Amino acid sequence: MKKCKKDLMLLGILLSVSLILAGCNAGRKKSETSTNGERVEISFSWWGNEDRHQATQEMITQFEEDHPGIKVKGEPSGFGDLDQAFTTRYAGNTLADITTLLYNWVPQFGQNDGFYDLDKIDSLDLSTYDPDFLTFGQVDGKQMAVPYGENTLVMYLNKSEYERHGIDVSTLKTWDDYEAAAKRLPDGSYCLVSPTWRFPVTIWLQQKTGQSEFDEKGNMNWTEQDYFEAMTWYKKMADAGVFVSRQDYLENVGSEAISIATNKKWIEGQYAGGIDWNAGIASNYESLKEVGDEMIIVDYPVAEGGTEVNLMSKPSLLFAVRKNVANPEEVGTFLNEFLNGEEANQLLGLSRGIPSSSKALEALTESGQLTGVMKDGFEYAQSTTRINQTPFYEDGTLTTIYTNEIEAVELGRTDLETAARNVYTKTKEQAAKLAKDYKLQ
Amino acid sequence: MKKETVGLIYIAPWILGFLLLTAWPILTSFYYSLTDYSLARVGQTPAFLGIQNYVHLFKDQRFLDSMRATLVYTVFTIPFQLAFALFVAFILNFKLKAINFYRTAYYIPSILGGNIAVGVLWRSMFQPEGLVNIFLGIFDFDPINWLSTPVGAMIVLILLKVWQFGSSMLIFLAALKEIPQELYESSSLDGASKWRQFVSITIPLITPTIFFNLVMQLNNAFQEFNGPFIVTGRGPLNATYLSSMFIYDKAFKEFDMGYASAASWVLFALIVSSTLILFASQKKWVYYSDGGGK
Repeated sequence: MKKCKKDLMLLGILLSVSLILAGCNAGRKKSETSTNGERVEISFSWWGNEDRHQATQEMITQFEEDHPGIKVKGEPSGFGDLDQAFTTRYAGNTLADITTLLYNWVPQFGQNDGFYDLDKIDSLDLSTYDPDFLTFGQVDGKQMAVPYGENTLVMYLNKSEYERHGIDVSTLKTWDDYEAAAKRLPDGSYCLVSPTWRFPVTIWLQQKTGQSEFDEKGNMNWTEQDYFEAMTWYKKMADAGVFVSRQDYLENVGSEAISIATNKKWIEGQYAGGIDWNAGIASNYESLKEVGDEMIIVDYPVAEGGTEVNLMSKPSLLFAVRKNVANPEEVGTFLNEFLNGEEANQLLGLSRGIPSSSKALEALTESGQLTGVMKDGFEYAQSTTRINQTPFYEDGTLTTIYTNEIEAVELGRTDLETAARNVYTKTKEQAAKLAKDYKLQ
Repeated sequence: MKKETVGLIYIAPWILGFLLLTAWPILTSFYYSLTDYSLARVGQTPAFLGIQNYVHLFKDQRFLDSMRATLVYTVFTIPFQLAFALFVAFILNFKLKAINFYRTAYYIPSILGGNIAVGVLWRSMFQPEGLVNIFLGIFDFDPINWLSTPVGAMIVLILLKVWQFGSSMLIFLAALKEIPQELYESSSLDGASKWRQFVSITIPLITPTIFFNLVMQLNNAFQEFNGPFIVTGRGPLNATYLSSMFIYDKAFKEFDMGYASAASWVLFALIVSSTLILFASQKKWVYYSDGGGK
């Protein structure tokens, strides 16, 4: 009995010690390179849907066959809680060797050499990118990340739905045309849906002022009066049924900005069009195709008094290498193949939108994968004027400020003047905080 | 080896786990609440701010709104949930056929309550053309805009929580079974009605259980996160933006760990003070057979 007690005690102690050691080592274990003979293991994390996971895994398998000395451990995840997942892993030093980033994480986490300087990796060729485009991934002059592709806000319509109500979409050129079209759609139907009302308002103001919301130092480019005019225009359009009312959106989509690809009202044509980033419109197209409807990209209307289309543009997503990576050259070899490789890009296809690497684009064009609505959206975006967004635009608080105020207006809790004042003052306050965080000033 | 030492070694894994994974993060979060610690400012030492975060919190309209929403949610959820749990437990205390099936069936919502599938289902049920409005339509009620009005969204959330009454119900059921049958028999002989028996015998004798469930549910309600996160989000005009969501957003979306820690401590203080008030109040209404309480 006594021996049994002692054994149990010993087991207890061993268990606790091993638990502690496992806990302390959790971060480090993943960061170390595991080798099987001469085989080096590297890791790559990304998020996305099933199509993206499958394409990426196929690319990894092909890469491992071509490079028997490198094993790539894929770490796929869904679209949910990206900020939380990344922050936790960054703070815990458990990032994968190659990590997918959102645009605003670059200045936030890339400060003080927060990631590995990609210019130091010889096996990675970034000459296939436009040097200006690469600046999206630079912090203090260092290449902390490489942007994958360009994302531009475009407008698309369910052509079939408009035709069912006797509207020829080629005649829709101005916002007045859309107002007239909205009158011909049945009750409960709207011309356009957007994940956030910030999209149309921002573009409208970019067209009117010719500037983005913030300058490079994070200062406000727009005035309170600008916001007031833009919100007045938006409210008029929402009241006319051009944009989905906030009440309808809350009931049928929710209070958060999410994809409408699988939304009932989108599939049934009651949301007859939309404004969204071109990298994400393929699923909207596919869901309409399944029910026999056709989605097309259309010219974005220019605001009255504006001269240029001035669409919003930003990198779709970026890739960074962990700052204390053990095998930078092997990681670079994989990343180079992923970004520039002919076979790799034919396998990856358009699972992450259209890449900006000239070699990847060439591979996709040659294999005939650059087609349909993705090609149309890409070509339209390339053919028109665009204004690059600062990373500020991705900040969730700024979107919340806009959403709260327009919601209060649409639900009759406040007036446009007060809402515009609130948007301006709160945005200014948050921008100052972000400028401090990003070390812009 | 001394008996106490052996005991300590046996519970060492738990103590170490508690110290490392619970006590340390709690203490650290208090320190962070006094700093401007931000995950977004990599490599910078957090500056010590004293109570500045706490002062700012009480001027922050978003935080105050979230606290108000949390209070509304708590105040309306707990009475309904406890009353419903007691009602069902009372029925299940009768000798019914297939009673075990009913007990299991009524407990299932508590297991399912916070998951994504139920959230999605709950949301679709309360949409304009959802099941709830279809049901109300049978009785000639006009459709209700549940999810697009502040009151409607809060009701949806409260109903979701009330629906998860299973654990409270089981505890009530156990308490009901402990009541001596002789009390009911003798009161029947004195001509007491069922209602009178319920009010004068059942309720007083289960007050310790009511108290226990009240404290547990109060703590849960103040910390509720899954329901609003899955079903209503912020809700119209932030009506269902509870303080746990505020803390989550500040910490993991805005990376403002210092401020989020301060908000957590304010919420903690609210929970502790509410619990202490309840404990102080039990002398007035909780009956313990050993003479404690009332």
